[in-house]
Amino acid sequence: MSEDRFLDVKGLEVDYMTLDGPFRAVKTVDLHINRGEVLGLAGESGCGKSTIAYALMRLHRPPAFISGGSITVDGEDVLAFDDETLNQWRWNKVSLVFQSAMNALNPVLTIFEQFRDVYHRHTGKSTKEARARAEELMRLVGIDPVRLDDYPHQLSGGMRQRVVLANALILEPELIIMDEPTTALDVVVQREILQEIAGLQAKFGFSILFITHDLALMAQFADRIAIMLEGNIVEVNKTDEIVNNPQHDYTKKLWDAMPSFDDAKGVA
Amino acid sequence: MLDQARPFLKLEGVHKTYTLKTTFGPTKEVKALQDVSFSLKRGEALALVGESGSGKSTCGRAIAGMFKIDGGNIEIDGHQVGTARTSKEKRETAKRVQMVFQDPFASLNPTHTVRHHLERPLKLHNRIPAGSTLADELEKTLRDVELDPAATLEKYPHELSGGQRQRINLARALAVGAELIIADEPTSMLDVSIRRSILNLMKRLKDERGITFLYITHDLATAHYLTENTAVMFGGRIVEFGPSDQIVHDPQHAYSKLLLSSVPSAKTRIEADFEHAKDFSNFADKVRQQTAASTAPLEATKDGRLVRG
Repeated sequence: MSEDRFLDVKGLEVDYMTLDGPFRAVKTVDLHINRGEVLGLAGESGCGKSTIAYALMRLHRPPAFISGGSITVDGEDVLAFDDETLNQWRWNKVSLVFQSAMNALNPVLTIFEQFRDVYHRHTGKSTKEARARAEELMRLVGIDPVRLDDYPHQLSGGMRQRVVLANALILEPELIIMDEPTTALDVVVQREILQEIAGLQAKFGFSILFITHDLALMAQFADRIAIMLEGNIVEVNKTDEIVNNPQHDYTKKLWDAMPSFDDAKGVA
Repeated sequence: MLDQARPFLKLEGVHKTYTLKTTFGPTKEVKALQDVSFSLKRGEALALVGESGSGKSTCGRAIAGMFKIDGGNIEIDGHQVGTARTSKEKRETAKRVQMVFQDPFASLNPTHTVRHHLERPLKLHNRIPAGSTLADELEKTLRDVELDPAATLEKYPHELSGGQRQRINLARALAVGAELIIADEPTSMLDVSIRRSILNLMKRLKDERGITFLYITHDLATAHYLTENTAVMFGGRIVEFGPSDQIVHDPQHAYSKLLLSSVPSAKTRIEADFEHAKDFSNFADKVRQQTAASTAPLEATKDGRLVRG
């Protein structure tokens, strides 16, 4: 793939203020994603991978601070945006799919109202146009548009995750950050969603930052994988290399930590 | 299953139906368990595998005696579950079976130390043999789950990591003297990187201490790692039962195959193709519908497995 950096992060540092002074959660991270590329970001809980996701969207609120580095998206310096530019930019250019679809949807609004809020705020278009767009998106992720008038609790976990995904697509962003999008789902549904995300990506050509702690899952789908440990990226390479020829000890350890079907069985 | 030795755990034709009373509209019945039968020998492990809502947790909770079943029989070591009346009988039941739950953050009391969590079962169940002291037994229990007693005893749950908490949950079950531990997705809320260490701990307890495990999961890879036998459940019924090794390498039932093909593997790449993106989902729905509609009985295959037709 030719180098066409849609997202370019250089020397990113994120601190959390604590009573014992600042805690550096992300330590001088360099990272880029090419146009149309799927980059996987893997690491265990607390390594800072979600902190990076939030920083890219500039969602951090005190006590978290971006204390250094630069974030460039499509040639624009994200850290220099004022609030209004930022509001317009978010979701238009880059959107975010949260881990827990149960919590990402507002329980007292219907699915349609959640679509309409975003659409209306960003485009100023009418409810009727929002309805048409929402129906189109629901079909895209394979849910009957009739369900638009349901509340989140009336949908299954897999459907809710699809709705959150559809919502992230509404303004046709060029980068979607997915923070553990399938972790709360069981394996069959996880596979269904992943297959659909791959299909949508092929159709629309957006880039994806795919965050998970499940390396095997990531390897099925990502073009390149970055491995994160304690706020640092310790290894970045093509998926093939990370799978077959991991260099860093921690990458090897992550692979070893997962039982696979090929494991010799102690009890056999 | 034709073994002469008496099974430690035996389920025969267990049924459980939940009735959901909705505010508006008709009452709904959910058949959580339908004619579930299996047995498990002492010191072995059995995996109950299936998707959310397949009845696998309900099955585990029924065995732990957490509710009354509607039909059938559950016996642990020859004692029928749910018949304990006196507090002595209830303590004896507790000694036979303990549970470890999915959420390590919710299953320990946040206002008490690790010491409290382990002291209570040790005292309540008279688990301090002559010549030993409470302190000795506490230390032994924590060492059994590979935790440092000095560093752990006075800590509160919030000071421990998820993996450490799950170890405390196992220690608590050991402190009671449990012979059967029902582990309901004990690793699914933990990081992939520490899952294996918890699995290894359970495996060691099984091999060295002879503890019987019922392992409830949706992850076939970990099931295969820990257990001798696997029961695949769907819609409250067992659709396939047999040696874990055979089930992961050569599943017979369509649903078992679907489950297996969904397990993430670095070797299979997901095709990025919009036209066919829904194919897997449609296929999965078809298998689910067929499995749900089928009322065929479990039949023995040539290699000794039980598969629903």
